[in-house]
Amino acid sequence: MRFEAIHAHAFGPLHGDSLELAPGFTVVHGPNEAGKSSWHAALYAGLCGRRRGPGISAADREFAARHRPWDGDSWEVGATIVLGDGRRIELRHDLDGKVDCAAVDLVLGRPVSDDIVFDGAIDGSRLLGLNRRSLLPTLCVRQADILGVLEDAGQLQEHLQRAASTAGADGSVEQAIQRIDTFRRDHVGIVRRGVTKPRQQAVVQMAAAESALQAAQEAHDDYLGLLAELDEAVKAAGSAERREAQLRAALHRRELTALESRLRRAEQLAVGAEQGPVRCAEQATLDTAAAAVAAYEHRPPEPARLEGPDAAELTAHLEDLPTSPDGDLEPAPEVEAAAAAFHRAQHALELHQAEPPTLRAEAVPEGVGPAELRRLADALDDEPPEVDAELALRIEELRAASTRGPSRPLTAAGIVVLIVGLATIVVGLSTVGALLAVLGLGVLVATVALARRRRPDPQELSRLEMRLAIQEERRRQASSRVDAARRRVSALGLPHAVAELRRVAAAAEEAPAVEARLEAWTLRAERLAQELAGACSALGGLLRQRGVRTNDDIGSLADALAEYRAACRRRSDQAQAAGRRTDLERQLVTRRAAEEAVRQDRDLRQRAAASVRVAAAAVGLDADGQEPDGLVVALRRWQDEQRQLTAAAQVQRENAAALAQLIDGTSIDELRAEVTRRRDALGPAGGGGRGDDVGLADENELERAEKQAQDAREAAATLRGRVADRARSTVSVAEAEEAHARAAIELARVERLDATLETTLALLERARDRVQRDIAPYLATAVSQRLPAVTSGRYREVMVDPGTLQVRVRRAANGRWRQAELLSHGTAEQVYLLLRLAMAECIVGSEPAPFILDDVTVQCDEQRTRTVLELLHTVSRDRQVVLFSQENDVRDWARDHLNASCDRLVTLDGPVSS
Amino acid sequence: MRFVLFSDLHLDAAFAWAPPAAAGRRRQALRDALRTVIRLADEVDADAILCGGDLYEHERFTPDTASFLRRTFAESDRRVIIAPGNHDWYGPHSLYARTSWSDNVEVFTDDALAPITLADGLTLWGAAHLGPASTEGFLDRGFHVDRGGVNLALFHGSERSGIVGEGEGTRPHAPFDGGQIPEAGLDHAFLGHFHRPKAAENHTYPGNPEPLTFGEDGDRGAVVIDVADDGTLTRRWERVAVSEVHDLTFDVSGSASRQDVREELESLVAGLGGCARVTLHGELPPEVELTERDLEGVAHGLDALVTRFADIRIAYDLDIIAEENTVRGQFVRDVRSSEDLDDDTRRRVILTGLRALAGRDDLEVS
Repeated sequence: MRFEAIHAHAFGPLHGDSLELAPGFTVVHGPNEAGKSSWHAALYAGLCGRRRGPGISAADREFAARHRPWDGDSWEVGATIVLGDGRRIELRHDLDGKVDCAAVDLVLGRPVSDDIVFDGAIDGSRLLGLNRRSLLPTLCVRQADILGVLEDAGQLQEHLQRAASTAGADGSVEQAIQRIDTFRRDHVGIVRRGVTKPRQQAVVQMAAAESALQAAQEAHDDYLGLLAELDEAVKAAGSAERREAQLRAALHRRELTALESRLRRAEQLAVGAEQGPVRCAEQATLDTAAAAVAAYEHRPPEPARLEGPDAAELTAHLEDLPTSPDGDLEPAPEVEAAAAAFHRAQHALELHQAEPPTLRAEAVPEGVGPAELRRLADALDDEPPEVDAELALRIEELRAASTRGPSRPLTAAGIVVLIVGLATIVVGLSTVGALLAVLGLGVLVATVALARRRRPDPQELSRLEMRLAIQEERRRQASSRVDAARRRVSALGLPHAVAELRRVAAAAEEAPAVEARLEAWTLRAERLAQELAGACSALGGLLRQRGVRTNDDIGSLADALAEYRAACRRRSDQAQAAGRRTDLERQLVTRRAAEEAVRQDRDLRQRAAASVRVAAAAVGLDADGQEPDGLVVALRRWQDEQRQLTAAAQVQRENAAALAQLIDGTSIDELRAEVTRRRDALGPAGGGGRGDDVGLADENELERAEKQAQDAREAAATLRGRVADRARSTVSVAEAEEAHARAAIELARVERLDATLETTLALLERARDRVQRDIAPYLATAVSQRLPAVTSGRYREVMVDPGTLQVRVRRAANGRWRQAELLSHGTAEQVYLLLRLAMAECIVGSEPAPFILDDVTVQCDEQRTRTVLELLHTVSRDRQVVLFSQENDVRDWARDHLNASCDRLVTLDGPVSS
Repeated sequence: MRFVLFSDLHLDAAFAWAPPAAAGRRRQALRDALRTVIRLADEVDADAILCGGDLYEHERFTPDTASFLRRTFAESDRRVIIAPGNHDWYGPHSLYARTSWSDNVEVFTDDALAPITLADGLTLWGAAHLGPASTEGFLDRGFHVDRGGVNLALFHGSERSGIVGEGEGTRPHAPFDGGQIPEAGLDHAFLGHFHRPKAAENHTYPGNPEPLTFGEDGDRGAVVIDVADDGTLTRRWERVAVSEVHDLTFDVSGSASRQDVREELESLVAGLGGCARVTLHGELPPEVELTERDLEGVAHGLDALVTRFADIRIAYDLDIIAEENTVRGQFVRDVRSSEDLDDDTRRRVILTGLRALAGRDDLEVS
């Protein structure tokens, strides 16, 4: 973008003036008060206009003060600009009312205002991606900027940082980060004991509020608990007091009741005492009657009749019983065991003798064993093998064939034909003769060949002859063995039959076993006989011990055993009869006791009946003709009458004593008066409380109840005091909750502020790192391209630190890097201007932006001024450069160096009139 | 028969939004409102004063509250009938059980509806919450009146269709459906719990009589109710609040400085009493430094002024700034694209960063 013209419709001292600007380098020269500053401001305002909206900043206020028209109402300025794409835009700004503003595309005739509004007003710098706040620090270089860099080389870095951060419109990001850090330290702080910063304070307040809230809630709960305790205590006191009153009333009622009872009793006794004394029988008579009745009532019942044999009969049975026998009542076990052993031995011997072993085998000749006998039998039984007759016949045939020659007829015929053929040749018939000769020769050859084919194979004949010889040798050897066997059998005197020989061999083999079996049988027979003898002896001994006569032979023993067993049975029968004696003796004792009891009962019954009659007579009853049972009934009735009379007499005596005790020395009338007095004292309600539950209360219990009631009242009073104290000291839960809420809000505010600051810091640092990482190499490249030209080759390269934007330049002479702050003023100016230019290019982007400078050479000497102007002239080849200057050196340089086709020198002649 | 019905007074409630002194005045206003209810009953010659619960807050009541209530009710000649709610639930430690009430005070103490005969043919059924939560619907357990005449009910419960309108904080204590009232044989139910007043065909919520927070709309107060012999009702809401709570909005757009905002806000609340909450919104120039604390002391006639920066936009043209090839532009782009920041945090971070870059010291963003 470049300015084509500035239109100062009404701006400061300017009215209806325009300033044409060249596309390249425009130098606006004029002395002080010639209007340079007004045109500089008009250029800015003509492009950017003024912010529209509520409020006004100090900068705006100052701008208005300086550039508002000195007279007239309107304040208008405008500019005609040309963009890189060829568009021409006419801008017009009503700086006062801010309403009549417009931006029009002069080619298309369309407004473009809506696309370039900033802060409520048209801002042409938006076409460069800038705004009215960032335009000045980005594209305008003031005299103060240069002076600042020259006076404080460190401002170069700061300027770059500010430019990179906010296009120079505001502070640098480093300053912003420092500011946030400081703010965070002051307005948040850290959480640590003793720190007085807000966050620690908020934490402390929060903790205190939580504690206070908890204490308030606990106090509230305690208060409720105290109320409950007080309620219980009051109830307990009331209960104790009721209990005390009930007990007291109960005791009074009880005393009244007792007194009323005494009165009633005394009145009753007094009535009884007026009757005469009661008379009753003597005690001895009463005792006699009682004893008779008791004896009769407790007499034994009529005894029953006894059944069964009486004592005499039982005595006779006892005398008839036999005595107990001597000897075994049944066969003794040892006798039966011996008898069983005897029978087993006898039976075993009989069985053994019934099975004798087989007799001895027939005799075998000496010197020959069963093995040889079997071999002889096998040899005699082995027939010599036969020779294969067909094999012999075959051999004969082969032998005959081997001696046979060619066929004689054929041989003769061949010779004949051969001779005929030879003859024919001789006679001249060579052809026929040759054929015949050949024919005859062929026959002879065929005959010989045929004879050779019919002759047997010599090897075949030899093999067959060998087989025949082997068979014949085997037959000869077999015949020889049979003959030898026959001779041996004959020599031994044994039969030649093969089966007989084998039987003799088998008998020879079995002979030792037969001998062994016979010997064993004999030995067992002897042992069994001995065992039988032992059994006979044992049985006989036992029987003789029991009185049975016998010897130890088998037949005698069997009879003695039978006799013993019969004697046992007889003794058993006798013993069984004798065993009844004890039972009969016990029956006899029992019978005699029963007969005595019957006798005694009858005696008692008779004596009881007699006593009843005596007693009846004693009490005055008529006993004659009366049965004892009737007399007893009459006696009982008499006894009842006497008991009543006795009791009445006793009561009469006791009542007299009781009456004396009841009135206790007073009179019944006096007792009646006391009852009336106490009844009146209790009143109609009976003294309060029914007292049903007090039971048998006594004075001690009343005393305890009084003590309990007093304790309960004191406990309730103490609790009332505590409740009152607690009520006065209780902290409002609601207020504690509110304080807690406020503390929570404050803590949340501080924590939110901390989080916001922390996040802001992180994002700012990230943005800084990213932007400076991009800007630094761009600046280095852009400045390095121009640096050699503007420094006449003294410096050739620039390096910019991405982290700090610190600038260093490399000297061409020695290649060493040098910090920009240490450069000479002239070089520093050049580097600064190049950096400003590069920064502007970097910030603005693709659209070439004009570069506006205000008296930037005012502090330069002639050489440095020329150098700066040449630099700007060089720059103006790529972008529009506008230089405002009051220096004649600059004007002169412009006259000499500017190109009329693309540059321009504007001379403001003198002070602008108001 | 004539009643004065009120509920949800919430004596001893906490007002976290108010400064300490104002909170105390709010609680005093609650007591004053109760006195106004009593006077109203005298003025209309009511036969009874009915309280639908949440008369006080059990967790917060002070010893003085018990004395105040006992004395206030004792001084009235009217019959006072109370159905405890979820905040003033009935229990052995409750204020209701601990206070020696005058004879004219009757408190329902069972969680099943029980009758009080108010007059021949006129029965009032009531029940109490016995705990701060989990109270089942009083009409959900097969309740049905067992007598003729006019049957009314008094309890603290949540009409289910109204739960949504009361917001998330209102839990369905003792819920019921409006249709359950006639099904139970009741002619009408006098209720508490919902702070928003409601005059339904078969039930009445009077609403909280004294403001408890901001944004309470509707004509809340005590309800003067006349019950005819045939059970028909006439209802008339009477304001008994003794203080005001205002909920205002203030557009700061056009204010060029903090002073402008203060003066305009002062003008906005001039003449108002009680407490006010002002929600500020609109657009402010970037150079205006403004926080809630900057607005303190503006409202001289109010007990408390609560300011809330709901949607204050600072007139940065962030789109333009984001186009800059500068750290500032990059910063704005980064913040805008940070997905882990919510909108409010993003706004705060951008303003904080831009203010710091601009060399400003007002880095705390409201």
